Amino acid sequence: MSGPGRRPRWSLSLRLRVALASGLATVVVVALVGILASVLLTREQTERLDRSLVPGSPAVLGSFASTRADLAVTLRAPDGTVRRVSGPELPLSPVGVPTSVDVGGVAYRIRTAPGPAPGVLVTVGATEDDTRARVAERQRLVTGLGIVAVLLAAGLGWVFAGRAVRPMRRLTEQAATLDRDPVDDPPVVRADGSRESEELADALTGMLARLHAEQERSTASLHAARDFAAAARHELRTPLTAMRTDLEVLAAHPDLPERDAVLADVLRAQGRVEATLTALGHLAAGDLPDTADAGDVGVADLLRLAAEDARRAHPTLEVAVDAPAGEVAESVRGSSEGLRMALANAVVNAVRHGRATTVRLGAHAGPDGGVVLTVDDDGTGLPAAEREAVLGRFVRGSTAGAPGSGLGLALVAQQAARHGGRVHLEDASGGGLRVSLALGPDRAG
Amino acid sequence: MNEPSAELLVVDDDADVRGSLERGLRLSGFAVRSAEDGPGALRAVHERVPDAVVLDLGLPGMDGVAVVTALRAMDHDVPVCVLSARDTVDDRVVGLEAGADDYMVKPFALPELVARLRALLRRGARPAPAAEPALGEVITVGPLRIDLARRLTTVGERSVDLTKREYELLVVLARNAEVVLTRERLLELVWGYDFATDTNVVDVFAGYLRRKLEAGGTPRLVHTVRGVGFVLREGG
Repeated sequence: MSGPGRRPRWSLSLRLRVALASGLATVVVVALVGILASVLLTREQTERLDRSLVPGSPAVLGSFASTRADLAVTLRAPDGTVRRVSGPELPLSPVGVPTSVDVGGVAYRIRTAPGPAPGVLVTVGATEDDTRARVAERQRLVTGLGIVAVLLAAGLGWVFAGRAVRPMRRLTEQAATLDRDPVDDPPVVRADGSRESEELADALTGMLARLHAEQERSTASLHAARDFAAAARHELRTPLTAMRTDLEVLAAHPDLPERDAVLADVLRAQGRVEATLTALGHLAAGDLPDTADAGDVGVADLLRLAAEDARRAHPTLEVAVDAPAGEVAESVRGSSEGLRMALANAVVNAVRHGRATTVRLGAHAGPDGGVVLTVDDDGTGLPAAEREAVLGRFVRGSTAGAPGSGLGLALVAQQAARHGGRVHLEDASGGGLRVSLALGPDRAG
Repeated sequence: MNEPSAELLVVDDDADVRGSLERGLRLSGFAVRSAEDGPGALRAVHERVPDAVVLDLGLPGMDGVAVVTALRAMDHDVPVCVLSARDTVDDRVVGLEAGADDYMVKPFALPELVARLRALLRRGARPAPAAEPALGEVITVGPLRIDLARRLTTVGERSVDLTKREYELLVVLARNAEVVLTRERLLELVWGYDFATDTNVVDVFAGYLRRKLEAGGTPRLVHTVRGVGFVLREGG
């Protein structure tokens, strides 16, 4: 389980952290309880000792004979002189108040009370050793129980934390094996068992789905780009093959009678290469996101310019512009250059592949309120089954006439898409093909 | 100019390429017919079998590979040179694997095509000299056994189905077992190309032979000698 970028881990595991935390929490609780218990115990023991410091009966006091052995008693005369002492002599303390004193290095608890005779004071004392020993013994017991409790808490923390982090472990295992086998569907990670882990799993699944979609998109566009490049190479190679063969024929036969015909062929092939390159350039430009080129384009101006382009490019072609039919917006937002180029390609398509002699340019109101530009021709038309396919790049219809780049209608479709619309091919009223370039309704201005 | 009246069939869907090739080949001394698609090509062969076929791979509908496959299935042995407008290896592979004899990538030099066609035509009718059988002759190299009279190839117990060009290459290599043959020598012996030509057709066919001979897990027999050529021998 070592890989590049995997650094040594010094952090504690979550499980150990939980165990330590529960141990630590128990230490605090046990310490508080222990201290409280110790204080209460000491107070209780001292009170018990104090209660025992009651002078015996006067008779007993008088005789001293049966005085409890563990009690020290000092009897003082009213003048303060010590009359009798049993055990060490105890100092005088305020009457009735138990006091701790130090007598010859031993801690005593003493209490002074009025004696049997008026004026006589009796001071009774007992060593605190026993009391302290008892308290210490209790403290040891509490401490021992505390340690056991702490260890138990830490151990149980370890056990329960193991269960609690199990979803995280599962999550980690799933994440580690995600990229092992590529799948077609976005991967789903599950970590049921705790809310946090479920939320994390959901977040991960969401992220993976987004990454997956992104990856699919870029893979698809990469494939498309590769296919396109291959198709473009193929398209250029065909006229170049004809050109090269022709040029080699010319080189090998300087006095060829059909020289002019060969030269015409070379020029035609060269024209094909040029047209394909131009179309490729337009396609590449049209694939770029729109920038400054988007402006208001007058529909009437656009049709007039496109008609002029068509007459210039095809001198023998009859070009008519229909007056806009119905309620057509006066202008559209978009690229004037792009729309002119699209219309020019539709005209080229009519002439080259439909062998049309007349084209009509028009503008109509679309069903959704957008502008529809149309190019009608009187050519041979196109079988209905091919009308969708010929909009693709490098696709030619079965009725295609002179060799073309296979990109003309693809360029029209691209411009339509660029303007939020689409291209539709149908039968023209005059018998040929109608190319309808529907612009998005939001483009009408 | 051994066979100035040899008849070629040029098959290409592009009118410009077809026209240029027709003219160029005609001016190089061939009689040329042409077809613009696969069915047209098969019809033309059916009418009169040409001496060689120049065939574009990228035909609409029935493509070049299908045409070669159909020609070979009908037992037509005419040399076929395929033209490909794509430079990926796959296309070459399928065209030649189906039984074509050579390929050229568009655009190509016309003199080169003419030279190769003439060489293939010279070979056309008869097998390569090295492959001409003596009566009942059998070549054996390790598990490989070639029965020249019956034109049967077996590796161990397994019979191997080879196209004409693959068979001729294998026979040349087997007759010269343990001898390293250069690509140039193989081009000359198998294809009749006795001129300098830039092609990796030998490598492509050597690859086919390996695949077919090793299909049953047989250890490699056709070895590449880096920078030199190929040799057939048992073991490394």
